[in-house]
Amino acid sequence: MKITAQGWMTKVAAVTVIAIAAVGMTACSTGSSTTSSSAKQTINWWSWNPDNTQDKAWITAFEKEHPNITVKHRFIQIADYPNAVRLAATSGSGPDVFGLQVGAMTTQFAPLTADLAPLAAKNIGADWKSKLNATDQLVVSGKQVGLPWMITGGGLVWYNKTIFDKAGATPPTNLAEWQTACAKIEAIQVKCFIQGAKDDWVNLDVYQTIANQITPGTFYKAVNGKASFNSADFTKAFTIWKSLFSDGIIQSGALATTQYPDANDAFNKGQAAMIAFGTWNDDHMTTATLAANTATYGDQIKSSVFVPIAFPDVVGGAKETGRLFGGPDVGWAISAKSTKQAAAFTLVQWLTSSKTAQTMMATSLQTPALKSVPVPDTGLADPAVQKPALAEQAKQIGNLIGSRQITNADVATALSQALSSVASGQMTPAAASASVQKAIDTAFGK
Amino acid sequence: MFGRPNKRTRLIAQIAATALALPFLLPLVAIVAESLQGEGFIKNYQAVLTKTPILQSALNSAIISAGVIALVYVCTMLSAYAFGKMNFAGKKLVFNAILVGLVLPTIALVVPLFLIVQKLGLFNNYLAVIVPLAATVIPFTLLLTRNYLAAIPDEVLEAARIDGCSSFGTLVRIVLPLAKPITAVLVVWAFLQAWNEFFLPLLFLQDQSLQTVTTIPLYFTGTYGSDQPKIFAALVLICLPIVIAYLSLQKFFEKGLSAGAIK
Amino acid sequence: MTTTVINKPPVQSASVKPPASRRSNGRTPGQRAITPWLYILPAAILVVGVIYVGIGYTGWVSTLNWNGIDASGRQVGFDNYIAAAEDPVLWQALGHVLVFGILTIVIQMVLGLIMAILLGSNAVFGRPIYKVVMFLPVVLAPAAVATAFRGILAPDGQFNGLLHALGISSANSAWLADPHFALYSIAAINIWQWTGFSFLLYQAAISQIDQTLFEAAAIDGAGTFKVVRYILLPQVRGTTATLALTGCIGALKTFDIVYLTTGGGPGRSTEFLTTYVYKQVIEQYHAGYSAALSIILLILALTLTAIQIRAYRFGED
Repeated sequence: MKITAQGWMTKVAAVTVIAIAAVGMTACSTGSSTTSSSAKQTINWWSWNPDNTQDKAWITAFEKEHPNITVKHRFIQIADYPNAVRLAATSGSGPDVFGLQVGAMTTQFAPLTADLAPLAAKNIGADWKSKLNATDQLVVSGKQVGLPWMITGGGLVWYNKTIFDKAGATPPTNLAEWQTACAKIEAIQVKCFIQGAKDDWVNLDVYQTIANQITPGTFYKAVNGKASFNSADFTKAFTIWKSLFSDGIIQSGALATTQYPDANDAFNKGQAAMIAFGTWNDDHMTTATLAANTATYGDQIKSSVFVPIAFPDVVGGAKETGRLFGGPDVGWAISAKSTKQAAAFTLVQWLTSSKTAQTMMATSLQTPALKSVPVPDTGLADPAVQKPALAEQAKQIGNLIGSRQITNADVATALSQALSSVASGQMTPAAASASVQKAIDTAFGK
Repeated sequence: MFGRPNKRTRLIAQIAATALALPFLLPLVAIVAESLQGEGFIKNYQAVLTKTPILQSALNSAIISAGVIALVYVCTMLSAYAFGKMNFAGKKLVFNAILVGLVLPTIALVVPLFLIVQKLGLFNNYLAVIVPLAATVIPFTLLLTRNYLAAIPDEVLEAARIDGCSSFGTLVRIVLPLAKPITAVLVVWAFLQAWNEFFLPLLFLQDQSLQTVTTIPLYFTGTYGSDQPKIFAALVLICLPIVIAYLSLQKFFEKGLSAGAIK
Repeated sequence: MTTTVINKPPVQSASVKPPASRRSNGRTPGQRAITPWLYILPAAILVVGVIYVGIGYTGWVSTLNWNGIDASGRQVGFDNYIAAAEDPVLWQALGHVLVFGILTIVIQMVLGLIMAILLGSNAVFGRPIYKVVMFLPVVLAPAAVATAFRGILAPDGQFNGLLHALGISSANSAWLADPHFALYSIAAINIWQWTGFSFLLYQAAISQIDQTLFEAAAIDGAGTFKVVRYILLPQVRGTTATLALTGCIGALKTFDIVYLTTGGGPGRSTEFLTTYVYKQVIEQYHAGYSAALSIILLILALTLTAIQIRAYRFGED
């Protein structure tokens, strides 16, 4: 079917408004007149993940096993998600089941949710906590506000092996090697490392990684008021963060680039050779995902090999490298206002601890929340390099150094502001540490 | 320039207009070019038309827009006529009180609106979107229209009254025909606001079959990464109806239509 | 007739009249006192029912220490306002809005007027195309505009490419990522997007001008510049005043384009009042403080409106 823009214009302007009226009416009426048996219930499920392209697969699998429950999913992108859910979940007509991000969102949204601990104990079993990974990051003041769906970690760098091979570069383990690799990559007109530094979360990821190389794990104590942030270590981390910008590791203009879609697009199109993504990008190692992405990024992506490595030692003598920080990527919560708590929990239980759902999760190489489901290492684009990377990742996911998300929103904002200001030369590293410490003191009442 | 331009004037005007329009054109070219990336023109636009419920959402947006335009037109014309052409105690106060609506940030309205809609049980009802949108558009259209109507010479209205028109008759038979250019502006503006509204439908029209055109790009937006070219194709398609409306209202701007009638 | 001040009626006979005569013109002898109120009623109901409920609610929330989610907040009186007065980010944001507002209002008006004059006559060939080009940016979704300009204004983007083509080979600035340029770059994007609206309003105003005025001027041998200066400009003064007023309010309310291009950064270098209001409630869960900032924004805008209304009246008399 060939439709020219001209033809489309006139059609929409003149004819279709009337023509589609009929379609619209019927669609509305079928929607409201679904014949239902008395036992059948409909659950409203809201999330930013899965999205519109993935939700059908989950719903189909669920409804097959639970024919009495119909699931209506709404995808809301993360930018609008908190604002929509904070309101909708206060009403009876909002979601029954909704996704939560660990950290500040979980802390703040806790009053909107039902306590899942009793339901989990009753339905999953008394040992539910030991069956699932990292449930503690979804606890607020003793209340289990959600159950984890999958576990992801940050602290990695991804490189495009295809580009590296073409440039004759090798994956770097320290700053000097990184600069050498960049020189070779830029020589073939490809950006070396791309950072969407307009998005605070990726800056927080990279800064945590640097801080963990200098003083492993202290970051997590400091942002919770249990260690000093205004210290030489964190100031040094800011200095190194700044040097990534001034020494040309991070591309020029990064502060007006978004990680999604700008930087991600550049990386997938082969315009940049490295990016700071975490384990959530694992599906990009499979031939299936690469094939599915040709529509967006062209045929070149089919022959691309993406590999995660430890973030190179940029501090000169890092105490540790390769440690991951993270936890549940999505926690499933039940609205306290939901009148269908039992059916809602059936969905949450299925998503978080059923063999079917968690195997679906593992198939995309994401670490399932359910410990008993292994991550397969089949379907990889280049098993020789990707299999060891996956094995290392599994080890690190089991040995997380911290929880990635900062639970206090003001502390997270202060650090984000400091990172952007230091990167753009508007703040000194020492002033940055002090500004974050000030926010920590206010947040934890010192 | 004014009156009958000679060849030299034409040339200068053409060059000046082109030089000024070029900076406006180039980013548009970049936007359209982005919509042709990836799988290319045909497949991108075809995907928008076939893989999304674009017809149904266009219908929903059309219903909302029509409601907003009608409400805005009636309320604006009635009140602009009173503010522009009548005198009464408290006029300044009430006019300024309505103008306050120009300045409230939208984010400040979301929560109270939600509470009202919840109280009235208007979820999944077009009115939940139409009424607040009209209310936020009216202060602006009232400001524009009142100024325009105030400029119509009183003699014209007086003549109508002498001919036996009531005040409402004067509005309908004399004022509204004279107000065509500003009506065009009003319609385009109300249409633009209603058609492009994203968050209110998202919040109040939760049923999938009630979604508006602004949600169409979400079909190409993923949690991790999105199909940028198709999003741009969708955004280009979505803005076409407003451009068509603007073009088809051009005749209301024709010279002499109002000025000639006034004299 | 005190509120006409933001518009100078373009037709000379109605422009300057003693107050008494205005009153007699406004109300016909038989007009009942209630008539104007009936005309105003529908608009008033809508605005009061939506906007005033919103203002009232926001005013109440602004006295709370509340995250916007818990069942209720804690009453703190004027604490949020006191905190706002001491908040350097608020003052920074106001400075940005001021610079941004002056730049965008003036440039959009001048460009819009010139285009309306050029395309208002029949001197230019292919006018519908020019009109669409001017108008398209107004209707495009901010998401498309912002994404496109993030690319165009990147160091290796089309804008620097254009500068290279013009012989400025050293052009490699990151226009949106450099705190020295970011605010001006956002102003430029705003001008690109909204000049079409100034154009649209001037187009409507010019179409209302009595053609015989131009013809008379042409007979008198007045050149284009003189016609614009002495006939056209005075005739569109009402529109100019409207654009100045809505431009001020528009600058104060600018949100999408900032949020989607720089997000207020780098650092706070492009923070606007609206982006700060949004971040406070959505990202930092300070609904009370955010509401206080909204009320401050409202008061500022009202003050500006009042000043402008007065200024234009003085200009007229």
